[in-house]
Amino acid sequence: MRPNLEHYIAAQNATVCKFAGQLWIADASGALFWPQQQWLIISDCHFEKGSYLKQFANPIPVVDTQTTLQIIASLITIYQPKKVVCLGDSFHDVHADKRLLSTDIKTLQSLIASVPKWDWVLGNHDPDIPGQFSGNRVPYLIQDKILFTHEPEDAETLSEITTEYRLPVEYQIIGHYHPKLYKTIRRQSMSGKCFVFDAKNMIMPAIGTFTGGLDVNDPAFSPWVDLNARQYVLCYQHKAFRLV
Amino acid sequence: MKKSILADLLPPKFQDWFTQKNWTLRDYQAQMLSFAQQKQSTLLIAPTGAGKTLSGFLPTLVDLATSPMQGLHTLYISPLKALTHDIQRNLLQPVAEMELDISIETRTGDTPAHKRARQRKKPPNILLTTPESLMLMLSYVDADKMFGKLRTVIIDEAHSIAPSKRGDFTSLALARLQAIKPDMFRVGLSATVAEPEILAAWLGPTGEPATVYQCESMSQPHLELLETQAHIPYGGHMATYAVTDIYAKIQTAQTSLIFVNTRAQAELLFLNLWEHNSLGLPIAIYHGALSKEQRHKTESMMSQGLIRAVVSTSALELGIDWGNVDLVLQVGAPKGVSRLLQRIGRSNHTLDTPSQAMLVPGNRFEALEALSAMDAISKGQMDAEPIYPGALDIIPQFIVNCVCAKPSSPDEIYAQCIMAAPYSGMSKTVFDQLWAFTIDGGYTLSHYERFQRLVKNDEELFIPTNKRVIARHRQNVGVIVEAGRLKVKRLRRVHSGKIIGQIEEYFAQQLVQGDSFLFAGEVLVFDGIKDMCVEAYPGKGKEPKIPSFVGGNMPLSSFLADAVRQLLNEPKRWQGLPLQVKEWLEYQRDFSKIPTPEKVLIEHFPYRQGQYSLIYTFEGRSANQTLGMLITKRMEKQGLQPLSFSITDYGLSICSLKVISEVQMQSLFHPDILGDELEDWMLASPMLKRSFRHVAMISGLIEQQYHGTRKTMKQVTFSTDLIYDTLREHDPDHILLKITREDAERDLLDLRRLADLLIRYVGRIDFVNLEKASPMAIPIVLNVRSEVIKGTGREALLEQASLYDEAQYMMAEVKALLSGETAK
Repeated sequence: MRPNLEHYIAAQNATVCKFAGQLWIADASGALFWPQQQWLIISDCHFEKGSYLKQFANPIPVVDTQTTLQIIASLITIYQPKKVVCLGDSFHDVHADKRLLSTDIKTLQSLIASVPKWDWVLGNHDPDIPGQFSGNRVPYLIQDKILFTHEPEDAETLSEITTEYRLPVEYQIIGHYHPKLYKTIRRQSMSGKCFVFDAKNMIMPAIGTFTGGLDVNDPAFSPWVDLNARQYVLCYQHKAFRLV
Repeated sequence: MKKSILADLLPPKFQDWFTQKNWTLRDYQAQMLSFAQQKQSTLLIAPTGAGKTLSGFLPTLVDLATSPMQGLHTLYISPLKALTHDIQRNLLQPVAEMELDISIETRTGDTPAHKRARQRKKPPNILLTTPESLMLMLSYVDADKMFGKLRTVIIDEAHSIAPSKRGDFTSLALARLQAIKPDMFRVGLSATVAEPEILAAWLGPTGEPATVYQCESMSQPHLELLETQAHIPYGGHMATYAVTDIYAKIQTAQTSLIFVNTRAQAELLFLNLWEHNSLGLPIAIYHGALSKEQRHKTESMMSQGLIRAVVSTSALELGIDWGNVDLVLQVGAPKGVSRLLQRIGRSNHTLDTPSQAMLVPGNRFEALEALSAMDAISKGQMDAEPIYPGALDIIPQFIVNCVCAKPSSPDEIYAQCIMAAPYSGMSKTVFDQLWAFTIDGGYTLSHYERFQRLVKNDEELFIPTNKRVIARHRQNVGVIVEAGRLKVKRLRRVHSGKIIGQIEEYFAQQLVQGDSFLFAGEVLVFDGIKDMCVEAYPGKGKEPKIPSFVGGNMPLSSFLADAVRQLLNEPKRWQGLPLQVKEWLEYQRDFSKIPTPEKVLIEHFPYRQGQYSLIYTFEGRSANQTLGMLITKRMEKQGLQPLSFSITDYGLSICSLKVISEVQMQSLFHPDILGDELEDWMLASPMLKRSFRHVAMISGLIEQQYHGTRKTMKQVTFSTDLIYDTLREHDPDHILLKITREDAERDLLDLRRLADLLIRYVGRIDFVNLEKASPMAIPIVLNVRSEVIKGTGREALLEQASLYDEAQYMMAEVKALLSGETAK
């Protein structure tokens, strides 16, 4: 067992949940750890979103990449994964690499080097991962009947994927939507980014800073996560709470 | 005797005109003439209706009539654009009647560009303008020439300009004018104020306060408090209960002005009055968010006597005289004695007849406030506005303004700044920091091209970096940071219709298609937002929303707060209150206690699934807000699990999960929270960001207006919040952060008032445990807007709701999985 992990979970910095017949650790930062495979899954880093917005006369500081990298570094220390999976939209736009600071490039390279494997699942914002970073570029990952994908796929596409990869797919772990939960308990309301899942699909929150969020009650979620069988992990002030 | 003075002061043409009008020269008007001859800066204090404005201009007219000249003789500054047009009309009349050769023009943001350019080359004798337009004129290369012959500056409604950032701004513009024309003198016109010396010091250059000339009021106003059969509510400010009474009252008068405190109140009251308007009386609405055309229409109908009543916000508090108003109604709390006096003064604009006014409180607390204010007025007492040193965020704007006009050195501009009275105490060190910021934004921001505003020329003087800097500056001159607004288009057909006013961006963003809202006195159905316009059809809707306007809350003056506390402790005076309010106080006395001046009353009771603590401070919203933040912070540390708090002017209610004992309360309500908790909280508080947004905009770090397009407040906020975080992290000593902090402590936190309160009541707490909410607590706990505490209380709620046990059980499985792995 990783040092401190038990204590970390006891302090509610992460919580355990079940999905697709597997156990998962949902971290308050928005990352997901899969104990069975020892994968660390992160979604929607949106590196260089700050510098992207700066191009449009928003005089904003460009420390978002640095902050996100620090979060990822501490996740790797805590979970010591065998593989890191980036679930798409890792870079905010195709020119992001040109704006990356050299220190951030080095940090990311050393993070990639610090784990045995690193997979980039490609997203709509980052069809190409900048060449200076190693790691597999894949449109999907399939493991234990779970499809790791940036955007959800419909039944038809899923059967095509099954045929193509010759692997059965029953579940999906998805990024893209940046879900956010508003919860009211005893007249008090709380909100934060969240994991939302049912028996079939899990949508992960964004790990990047400056990424905003979409209310889970938005109709965009309903085709993918059954409204009547939803579970949530709410990320609230560095703590993770499992709610129904 | 009188005749001879008149002969000395007034040329024959004027004497004839006075005689023809059947007027006599009043004493103070004669005084103003003689002060002007001595070129002495003067502050004229007179109640409305005294012909103040004419007195201010009389010396100028006489001077120009006896020795005509080319060029600018007198500059008139008014806080309101509309007032300049009004004054122009009022001046043109005597000038025409006496056939004087005097040119009079206005210049505001509405003046067309060609006219503005012409005015700079060939200015009129008298120019009527606003502080912002004046500063703008001073930014042009030809400012020296334009103001080269200036004799007098008249500042109208000085009492309303001075105690604000706009007052600091005006003061700097005057200092600059004085540098251009050293023998120019200033005339201030003001309504009655509590401390004239302070205003006189502001009006004159540093060290040379203006001479005060006070013209006494002749008559006491007639004031009454509404007597009603209706149920006076515990909370809310809308006073909808009193609509029948208000309607009955306006029937008794020729023309009534109905003052409310917020635009939302104006809309709602207007709608309600029309629902009761069985006689079809012409009743109008007037507030700052309505379109110019709409307001002009109301104004002109008003002056022709075509309107029986106008529901208005403070927009009609100043300026434009309508002689025919014979009744003023104040609906809602007066909030301050001076404000109430100003409003009352809007009726009967002649010196010798008393004003008539009625006060209509919105709730029971407001009834206390209304009676206290009435008693203060009858005793001739007023609240004094505290005076603060000049706001530092205006200095960078002023520096750029000076540099746009001509190349300058820091020493030269510093010398001018400290001649403005509010800045007399500004040290050179502070100025140098502001100067450094103005040049390139300061160390952290200096690598951004857009923050490079000044460069040195060959003669070692500073000039603007490029033309863009000048353009950006000119588009954003001023200190009024407007909340993000969107225009409202009243649709007749698809996408076509008339603009009828503006609502706040924040409110507009909450609307979805089909929602109805109340605006300009009618129900509109929201269709969509297109090109920065809210498009809406007139229509019917159930329970229309009422647009909220930020900044609608006026603070309760500390003078009035004390007066209310006093009233509470003199049960004899309760006779003057409406019976229901008197009974309410008696219930409070029997059920709990009446707050006394010696001790602070704190009640504790369970209510709505939480524990409530009620602290009756009477110190106004800002101080209560701060107190709430600090106390909940300490509760958080002590594990008392605070959930939220809400405030009114009179008190603070805190909701927590845990019960709070008297001993615990004593450690919470203690001056040392100003040391320990304040620091922690200030740094993390969103309030500082709010304050920084204003500072960043005024100091020119970021602008709302660029290339003729307006940024939405959301865009501005996004950028300023991020700059704030960066500065805090990388440049914590940045001058803008210091200014932000000072601003926040003063305007948002009211720290001085809070510190006084906490020190006064050390160990003097009246702690009362109750089974349920007390009569006085009800209005405060019912306050729907509450500040949420993100902390252990909420975490505890989430924990209770979460599937924590199940997670513990699964944790065992995870442990097995992972340790099996490491064993391999």
